[in-house]
Amino acid sequence: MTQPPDTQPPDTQPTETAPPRPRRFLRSRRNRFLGGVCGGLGEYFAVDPILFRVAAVALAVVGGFALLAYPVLWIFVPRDDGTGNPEPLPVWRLLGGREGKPPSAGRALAIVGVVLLALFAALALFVGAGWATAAGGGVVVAGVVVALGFLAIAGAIAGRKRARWLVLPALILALPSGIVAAAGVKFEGGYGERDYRPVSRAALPADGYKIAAGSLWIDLRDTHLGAGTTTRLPVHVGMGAATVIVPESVCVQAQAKNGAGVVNVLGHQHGGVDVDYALSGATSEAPRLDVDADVGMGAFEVIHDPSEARFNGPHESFGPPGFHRDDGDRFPLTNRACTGA
Amino acid sequence: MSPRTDIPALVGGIAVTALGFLLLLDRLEVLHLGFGWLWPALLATAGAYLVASGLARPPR
Repeated sequence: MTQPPDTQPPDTQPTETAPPRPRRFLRSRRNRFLGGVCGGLGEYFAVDPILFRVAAVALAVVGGFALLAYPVLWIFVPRDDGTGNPEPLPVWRLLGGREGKPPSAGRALAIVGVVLLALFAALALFVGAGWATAAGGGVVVAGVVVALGFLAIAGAIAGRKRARWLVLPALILALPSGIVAAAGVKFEGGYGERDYRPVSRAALPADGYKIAAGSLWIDLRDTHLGAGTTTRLPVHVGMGAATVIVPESVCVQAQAKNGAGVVNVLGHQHGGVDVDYALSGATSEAPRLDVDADVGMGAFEVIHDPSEARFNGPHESFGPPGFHRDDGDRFPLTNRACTGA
Repeated sequence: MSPRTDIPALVGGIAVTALGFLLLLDRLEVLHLGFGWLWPALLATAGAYLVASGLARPPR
């Protein structure tokens, strides 16, 4: 890195109120809001750190670059010791390094191993709790969280500071379990890609189509439903996407719930969390299909033609989350069978 | 309350217990826990613990 020229005239003495400008980029000790990264940049370039803070916030909001860069600089850029010289990095000290003395390889390896093991255990706990909840073991996971809470309370009353550490595994368990519970993800019906093309009402399963994780493709274009009949079609997806293709001659009524993701029924598209969409109002004698969709996380769509599929198959493209729109222009609403128009 | 009581652990324990009961009630189908309830509950739990830890820290 190019060092900035020393702009201080040789005949002037630095004052106590104006500490020497660091000769290299260091995290600031005095000018810190979080880790002193922006303060350090401000001192190095001799400008107001607020400029870097504003830029950091802007880069965090637009694209999130600062969210990655800031922690990296926080960890790997040493802090100013107050005299313009770097302090040993916390990581260095953690590994057993002291000023002028590198850490021993054995100690460094042991600490890195313990940290990796702890991260792996946390990840396993996180995934395991989510999986167990989706598989029907949510009561057990919730019970363990409650038990850890009681242990923390008991430890706190006994004056044991270590009881604080029980909060961490409890949160690691509660977070995925809560997400799975809120989304309503249930692992039932197998995994993978399923393609169904029933030819009659009798071929439709009474309890509907289910998949735990993956994609469902239910093509009803060749299914004879019969005029004046109402056919109920339950669809359950734990995590993934389900697409139902219906001919234009069928009147579609729908009740679709999605814990997190998108619901698109004949161009009426709703996305976000806790999506609950209903399409009703049939008045014609056309064969009616009552779709009852329950998706944990993912997408559900009812379309007339496979080329309209956006969340399943070769045309999938999820688009931005949390949007609500009616694609009347791109995919004209052709649920005319319901009104006989 | 005993002067030895560790306040952050106590607050964290109470918050985690409450969160666990919330999950338990959802799993027992007493209530439905949507995302609208989950995020505030999780943030309140973590926030309560962090505030208690911050207040319990001796002044510099």
